[in-house]
Amino acid sequence: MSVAAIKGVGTSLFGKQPDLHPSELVWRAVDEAMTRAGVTANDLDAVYVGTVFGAPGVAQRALHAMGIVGVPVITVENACASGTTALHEAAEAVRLDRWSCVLAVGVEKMTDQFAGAIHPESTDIEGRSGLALPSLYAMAATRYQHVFGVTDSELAMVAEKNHGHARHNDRAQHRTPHTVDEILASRMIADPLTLLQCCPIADGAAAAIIGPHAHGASEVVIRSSVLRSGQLWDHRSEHVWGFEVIRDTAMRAYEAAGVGPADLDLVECHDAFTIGEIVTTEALGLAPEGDGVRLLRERHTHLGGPQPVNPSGGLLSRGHPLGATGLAQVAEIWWQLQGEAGGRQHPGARLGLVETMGGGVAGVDGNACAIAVLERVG
Amino acid sequence: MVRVPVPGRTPPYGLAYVDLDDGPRILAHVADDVADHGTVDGSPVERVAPGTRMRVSGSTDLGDVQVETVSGTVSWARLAAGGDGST
Repeated sequence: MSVAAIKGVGTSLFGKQPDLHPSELVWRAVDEAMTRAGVTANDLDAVYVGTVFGAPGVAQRALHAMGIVGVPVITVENACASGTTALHEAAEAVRLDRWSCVLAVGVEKMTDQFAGAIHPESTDIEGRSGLALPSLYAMAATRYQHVFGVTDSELAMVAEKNHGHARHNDRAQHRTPHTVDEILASRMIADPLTLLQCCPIADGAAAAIIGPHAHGASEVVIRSSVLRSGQLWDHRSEHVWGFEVIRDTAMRAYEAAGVGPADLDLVECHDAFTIGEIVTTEALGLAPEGDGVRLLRERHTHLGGPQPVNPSGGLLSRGHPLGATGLAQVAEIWWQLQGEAGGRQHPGARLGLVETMGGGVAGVDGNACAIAVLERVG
Repeated sequence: MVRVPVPGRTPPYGLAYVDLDDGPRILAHVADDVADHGTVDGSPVERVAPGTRMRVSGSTDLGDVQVETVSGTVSWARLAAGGDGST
């Protein structure tokens, strides 16, 4: 078996890009990733593609124009975690010596399909009942606030932090900082979550090249990658929706990597809604349960703090093109570990974690969760 | 309280997870007069507090399970024990 390494990453810009074809988004991300990795189309053994709303053949339609033909192209769908699922499968293929040069790419063109929230899935019993994702997270926020005494202003601190981080990310959809008061004054989407506490849908693509670690080389290795679906949601659980699948996935990722949460230098996690980051930081073990807001109050997870969370600006600011998001998170950690994150660089970053939560399905505590621990070695 | 357009639905409408006395946790629509005492935008809105005792009151026109509040609340500890039909 091999140790998988990420040889290069790339992304498009994120946001509403009506003039761009999905293929153009893919070209920008893949070209950048291949250039950074120093590989050509002929070097690739296989491609894993993450997309949710992409048209059939969305990847082949883009890749053939880059000369990427005659190789297995495998498209995976795992809701918001589709991109990270593509990375996971690519990493496993390299780790198990199936292939030695694999492209993982995620793409989504959403703004011509949705004007606001993603439509609830009508074949899901809760989706059929009108459970849009903002309302799922809103119920989690309401429960969390009730149990732990967290205020609306404290929820909004997540958005204040991440919108502030995005000032330094010229690929992000929204790069304007906002105060807590501005965030709370924005339009209510699903109580208590206001507009600026909800990630925007976006168009975008992101890519990574994965291959076996060349021992002695300075590169970013994948210490662990774990992918799980949710468990049956036990009605006796005291946790809000999603906590358990993130916690259980993180435990396995830490165990496989031989590290713990205190070892992490920084995290990119699934902040589709502000409550998501608070619950996730607890599920990842960065704070005890009910104490996630303390990380914000003490600026522990701000840039400049000891463990920045979502230095890119997160989904809240970068935007959330579902299939691309996970690989965009990977790209951010890769740049951070390489010391290439510019004004949002966390000094000395060596160990980072990517977490993506993949949507809701009635009856389980999360559709999917993918977590990867990345380390710069050499 | 969902305040954004959803196909086939007219916002605002209230949703809650309700733990039935006998076990399952279900998604239900909260009767309008309970869920929204305020205006849609700008004004304070009274939320149904977690732990509020609910009862199934029927179904909406679209066939969704609908609940309404009954007097009294239950504690989180009792909720954790799975003892009440509560949000």
